[in-house]
Amino acid sequence: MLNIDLYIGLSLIRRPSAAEHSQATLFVDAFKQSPVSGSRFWRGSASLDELLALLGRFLGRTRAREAMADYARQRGVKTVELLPADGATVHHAESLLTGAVGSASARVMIASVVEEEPLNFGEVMHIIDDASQVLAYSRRLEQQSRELEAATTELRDANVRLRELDQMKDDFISTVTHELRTPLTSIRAFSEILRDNPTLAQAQRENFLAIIIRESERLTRLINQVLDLAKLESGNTAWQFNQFDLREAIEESVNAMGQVFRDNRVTVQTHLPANAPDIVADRDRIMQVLFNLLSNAAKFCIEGEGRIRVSLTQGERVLRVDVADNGIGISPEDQAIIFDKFRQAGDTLTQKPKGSGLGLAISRTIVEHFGGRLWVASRLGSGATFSFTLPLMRNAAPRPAPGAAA
Amino acid sequence: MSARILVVEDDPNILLSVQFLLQNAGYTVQTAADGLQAWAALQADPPQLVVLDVMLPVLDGFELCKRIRAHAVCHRTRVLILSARGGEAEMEKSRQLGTDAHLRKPFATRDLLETVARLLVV
Repeated sequence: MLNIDLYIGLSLIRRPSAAEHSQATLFVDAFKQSPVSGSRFWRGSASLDELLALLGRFLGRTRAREAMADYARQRGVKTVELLPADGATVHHAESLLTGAVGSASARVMIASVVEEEPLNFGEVMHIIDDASQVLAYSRRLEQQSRELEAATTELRDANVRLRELDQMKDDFISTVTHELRTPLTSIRAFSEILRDNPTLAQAQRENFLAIIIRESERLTRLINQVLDLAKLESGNTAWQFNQFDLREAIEESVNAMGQVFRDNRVTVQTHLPANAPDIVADRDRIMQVLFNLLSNAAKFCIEGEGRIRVSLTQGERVLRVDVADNGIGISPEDQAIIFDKFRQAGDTLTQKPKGSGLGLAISRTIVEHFGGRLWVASRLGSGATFSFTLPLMRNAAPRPAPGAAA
Repeated sequence: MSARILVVEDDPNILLSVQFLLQNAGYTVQTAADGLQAWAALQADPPQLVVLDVMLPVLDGFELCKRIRAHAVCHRTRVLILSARGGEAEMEKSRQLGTDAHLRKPFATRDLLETVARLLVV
């Protein structure tokens, strides 16, 4: 009987072609292969050099040699080269590799250097399981990495937006500072001039005093508007909800501005329907919008022969107000910026336009608060029409024309 | 002959006040309402001093200052900046550009006249 506990042919064969290749033929008893013991014996022939090269690849050349030298000492062999490439050596190499690449991969790699080693079905299944686990894991990793990447992009975008907002805030403060300091500069300079030059001619005194008063008014207006806008934007505005007739509001605002129109020699025409349903909004705020649009129109009309046309029309769900002037018009580029804070049409011209540059920003905020829209239509050279809408109440009954029979 | 000063300022009221103050103190005053106008005047006949607003239309004060410093004809021209933004960054930029003095708006008229006098003596 064959002694199944012993390797047969444990001889070291020197290949004539490669003298340094130590080679051994290994046999193992199939009955001895027990999964419980954890010892797997290899059958077939292996080259010690190939095992070392394989280990070196994953553990590093030095570490691989040291690990195998330890193993050689355990087996009572003097050097690694004298180590027999037998089943035990191959198994040890496999266990070393397992630590680095996982058991299934180690098994496949070792099989690649062990000739004539057939993998049995169970092993193949194990390898496949192992590999599919690795695949699933790497898919999960990939998915997570994609999610992480998306999150990173989102964060980066948010950061950019925050920085833009911060920049906008800085720009705003810087602009407000400039706009506040400018009238203050004239007020202080002319006050000191008047104080230090008591013998100024009457006409000059009056001119300087008029400038001080005008610039004080400009400063007051600006402060009020900056505060108003800050209040609107912070959401701390106490909005009123009044039910009112927009036609009346338009007539009232046009009448209230009569002096401004006369001073600027502007004629105003109103085109109001005989009746219109009430709307619900903050009446004072809507009046503020009307004043803003009317005074803008008066400011930018043709000098001396300004004409403004104010009309109210009823749409399906909204009332629409149009304020048209016959001024120089607004270029498409300027139309895009005039609703921004402190941006005005013709800002680059030598003659700065009048006003704070906040009126339209405030007006748009107000109209949008009540669910409406505010926009401009214009062509350079043929006037501008500012329009806004306000939504109608549901089931709103048209209010009869004043004095009309019910 | 009194020193000639170019005042560059786009706000007509501030321009008028500075012009009055300097003429009242005996200087000859030239004015410009934007950077390009000022640059043309500077090249034609550089004054001893430019009183310069920063936020100017067309060509801003700092850009004009760079041109003045790079232009040989203006090498004796002094630059006094009047700035309304008045942040620390603006003061620093002003220093880097080699301006001779920097006043923040609103200024005391006495400070303006003293600074002008000091710049024209040196």
